[in-house]
Amino acid sequence: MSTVKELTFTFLDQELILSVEKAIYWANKEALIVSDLHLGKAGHFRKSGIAIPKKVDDQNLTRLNLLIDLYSPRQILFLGDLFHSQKNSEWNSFIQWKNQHQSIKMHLAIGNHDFHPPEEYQDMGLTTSYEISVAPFLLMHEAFTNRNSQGLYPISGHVHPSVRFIGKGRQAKRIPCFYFGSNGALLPAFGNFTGTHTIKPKVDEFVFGIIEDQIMQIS
Amino acid sequence: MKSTSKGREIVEQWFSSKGWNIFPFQSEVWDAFLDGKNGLLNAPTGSGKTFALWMPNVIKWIDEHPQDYSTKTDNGLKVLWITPLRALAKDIQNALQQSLDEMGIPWQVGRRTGDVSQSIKQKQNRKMPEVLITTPESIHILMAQKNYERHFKNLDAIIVDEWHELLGSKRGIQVELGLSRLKSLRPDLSIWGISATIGNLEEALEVLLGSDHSSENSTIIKAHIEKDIQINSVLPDEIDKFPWYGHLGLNLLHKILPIIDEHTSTLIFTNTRGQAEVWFQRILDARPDLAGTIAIHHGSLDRGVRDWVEDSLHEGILKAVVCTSSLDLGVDFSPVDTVIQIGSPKGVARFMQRAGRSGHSPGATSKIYFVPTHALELIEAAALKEAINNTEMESREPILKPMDVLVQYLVTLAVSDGFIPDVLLPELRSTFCYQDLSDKEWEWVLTFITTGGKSLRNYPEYSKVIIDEDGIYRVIDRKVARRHRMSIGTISSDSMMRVKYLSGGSLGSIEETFISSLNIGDKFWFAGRNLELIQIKENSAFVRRAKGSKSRVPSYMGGRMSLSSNMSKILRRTMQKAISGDTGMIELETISPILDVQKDWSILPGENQFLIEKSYSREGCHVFFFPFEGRYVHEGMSALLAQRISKMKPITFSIAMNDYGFELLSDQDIPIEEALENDILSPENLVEDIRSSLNNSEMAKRRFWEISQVAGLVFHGFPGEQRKARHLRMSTSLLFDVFVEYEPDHLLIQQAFDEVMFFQLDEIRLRKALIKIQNQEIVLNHTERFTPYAFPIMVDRLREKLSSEKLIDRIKKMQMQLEKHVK
Repeated sequence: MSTVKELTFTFLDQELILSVEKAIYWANKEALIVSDLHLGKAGHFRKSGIAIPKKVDDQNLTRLNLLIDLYSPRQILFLGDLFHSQKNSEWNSFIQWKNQHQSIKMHLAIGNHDFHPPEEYQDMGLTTSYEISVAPFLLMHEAFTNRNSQGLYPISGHVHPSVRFIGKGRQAKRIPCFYFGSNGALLPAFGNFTGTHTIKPKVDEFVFGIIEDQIMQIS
Repeated sequence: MKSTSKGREIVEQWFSSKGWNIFPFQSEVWDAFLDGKNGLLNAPTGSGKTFALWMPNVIKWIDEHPQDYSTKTDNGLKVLWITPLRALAKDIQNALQQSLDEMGIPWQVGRRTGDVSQSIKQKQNRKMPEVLITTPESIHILMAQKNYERHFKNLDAIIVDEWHELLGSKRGIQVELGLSRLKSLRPDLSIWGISATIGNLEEALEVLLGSDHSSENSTIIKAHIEKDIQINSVLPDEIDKFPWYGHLGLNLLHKILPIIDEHTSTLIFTNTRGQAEVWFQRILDARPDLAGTIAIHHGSLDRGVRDWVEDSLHEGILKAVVCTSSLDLGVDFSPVDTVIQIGSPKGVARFMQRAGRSGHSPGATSKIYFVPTHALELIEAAALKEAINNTEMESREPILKPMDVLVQYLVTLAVSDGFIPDVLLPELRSTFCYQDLSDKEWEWVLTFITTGGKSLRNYPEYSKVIIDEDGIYRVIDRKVARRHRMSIGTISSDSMMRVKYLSGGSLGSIEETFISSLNIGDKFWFAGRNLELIQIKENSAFVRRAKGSKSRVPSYMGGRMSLSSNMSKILRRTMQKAISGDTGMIELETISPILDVQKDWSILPGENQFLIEKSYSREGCHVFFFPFEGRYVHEGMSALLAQRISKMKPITFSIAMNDYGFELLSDQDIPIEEALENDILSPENLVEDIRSSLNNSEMAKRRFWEISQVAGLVFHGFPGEQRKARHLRMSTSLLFDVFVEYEPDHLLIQQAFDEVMFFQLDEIRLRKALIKIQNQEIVLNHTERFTPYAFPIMVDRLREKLSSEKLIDRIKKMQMQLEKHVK
């Protein structure tokens, strides 16, 4: 298990701690923000005949615990795609985990994979909505360019962003990243083994790369 | 020692009624077969090999039933005929059935392959024909049926056709396993194989008959048919303008057209499907008048399209067919009187096989033209000519103990009637491939199929097999059984997407990865047609005919074969001739200006020299090595050297290779001088060093992709619900990581590593190559420019990576890709 490493980024007068574990701790609001856990992916594949050991999912919850121990957040904001698909045994693991953290408020911004009726998430003790608006930010799963963000700065997940590096000697490398662009921010996917999508930032935008067990400001 | 009998007389009469002579080798096979011997017939296609092994079955039948041989029906399955290629099955079926009909024997000859309809298969399940022509996979599918043993209770003989094609592949293992089961059911079974000439015929026989056969009771019979092969090289007019690299060979197109014109029917072999599409198009562009009389044939085209091409070839209505290895084997195309090979065939056997597709009838001359795609291939042309004169053939090395195929086989038996381990184990050890299966490995496999092994324990989905109260291993779950029957086979492939016209009609299948790289409205070449992508629905890509020239050609996975060791040996010898000025051959004479350039800028390495070239460019430092051992050995050797140098200092390599050599490229100076002093070319610790190279684990992952499919760890989906290839591939790489982390001694992971060592890197050849280098003079040249030897490697874009630098240090030296925008 890698040690948690972090980097403090002050943005719109807010203190954001970017963790190498692909989460943001928003210090002013004592909120932990994570996106795209895709829990239960292992079970989903197993059902279709592909053997993925459950440890993959267990690791996600272990990493969350690590972050909780470190920051003691009052609330956790999940920016969508909490579960990968149909209910399976990983739902129960999650409920168990949730019950161990009764004092922490948890909220889910509904994503495209979160297709169960909201009551089911509420039964677990999660509050749900499509957007979470806490000035100066508007948090959600997927930011649409034409959406009216009411003057708030959108922070979203969904994309699983990464950036590509090229160097001499025909070298190239892709790195998952946090991205704070002119039109909004993107969180890296928290879940293990979820894949990434390459984005191309503009010159004056902020990018923080996660390079193995370190986090580094790239631009 | 010819014995006469009623059966023999009838068969001989039938031969003379056809106006045929019985060849001595045919008669020899009949005697041995009827004498109760098992064996191997070494004979080329078109030599009468089918009747050599078919007739003794007929003779035996007549002699056993002299009174009622012509009336007795419903005799159960007597003869099983295994062929690697479905396309061959039909021809054999017709030939055998016709001979039976004409001799008045009421036997039925049936076919059971992937493309036979379900209703025919059900009819066979109720009543088997006397002769069944089938593939290795289909036998295993049969053995997954309840009460499958009933089909085989009258079985007398098994003939394995084209055994050389199966040997050395996992399909060959399926044959070995199938035979071991059937031998137990029918101990007196006659087993015969038919093989083209390979370097290890004796071993081929041993593998076929298993570890328990006695050598007195088996024999190899050679047909001794000499085939005249005429080889011509197509030479460039001006070698100065001929490229130093490339793989298409289109600049010699104008010299190919007259060859097509001069002959009745021509087969044009290319090495990849993409290359076939391009050639087909360019020939048509150059000669529109050939439209309608030339066709294209490759493995991605629909069966119907291919059948049409094959039938038309057979009937002689096609002037030329551009094809890939899809036409290496198979049906006899008598009208074909010449063959053109574009680019290196990589091995002598393949080249001869292809040449043999022309002048197919006994006694006729085969004619083949070799078209080099770049300058250095001219040396290969010369080498091939040499090799054919000396008939130096490659060996096919058998595979040992693949766990994935064993897992699949055990589940197959558990799905049908179940098995008892103690009873089955001696049967398995009677095969060549599992003769050394240890008790520990056996325990592991049994645990794996019953519990899923350590990492997957407690998942009901993986406890496929249960042990019932009688100690019989069975599959009870019907979904598991159904899923297993669907996945029997050992050929893994990328998931394919059907290409269909909007108006109806299917053309074939393309790799999903290619289709998903296209946008709607994009144009591409397929099946010799210019197509526009209209929409993607379910598992089909809908297209319509398009015009215009901006179309793409699908790139296909694979297709990067390696020079055989035999071929590289002959190549090296031919090069030596060129060096010593012995240019008796036109090919060597033609290429000599380029060899002179190589000599001027560096040296022409002789048989006792190992050349290394070092140079610098904007990209960094390049070091080229030239062992001339073929791509696979170079893959291993480059990983080994990169790994060893990377231990000297943190460094990142990009690695490229071809059949002649390989390149290490780095953004910083490569300390090759120092490395040579440290003896980095030593064969010591070879296995350990390669295993620890990161590169290796990438290769092992790719192997594991295939292994996990065969062993049933991943499932392609039922028809109509095909899973996306990307998902499958991601989950196998995930599985690999998890197994390596939690259960590194997992036998399927071990197998992946072993297969990389055995097939991909060819450890044995690699070790030999390193030992050879120990006795060579190492010549390190600093070159100003990329030499003719180095240039083709340098331009290759497909590269492996290896690094000992910290990722963060590498990133600091690199630049992030930013959006291009005008300020």
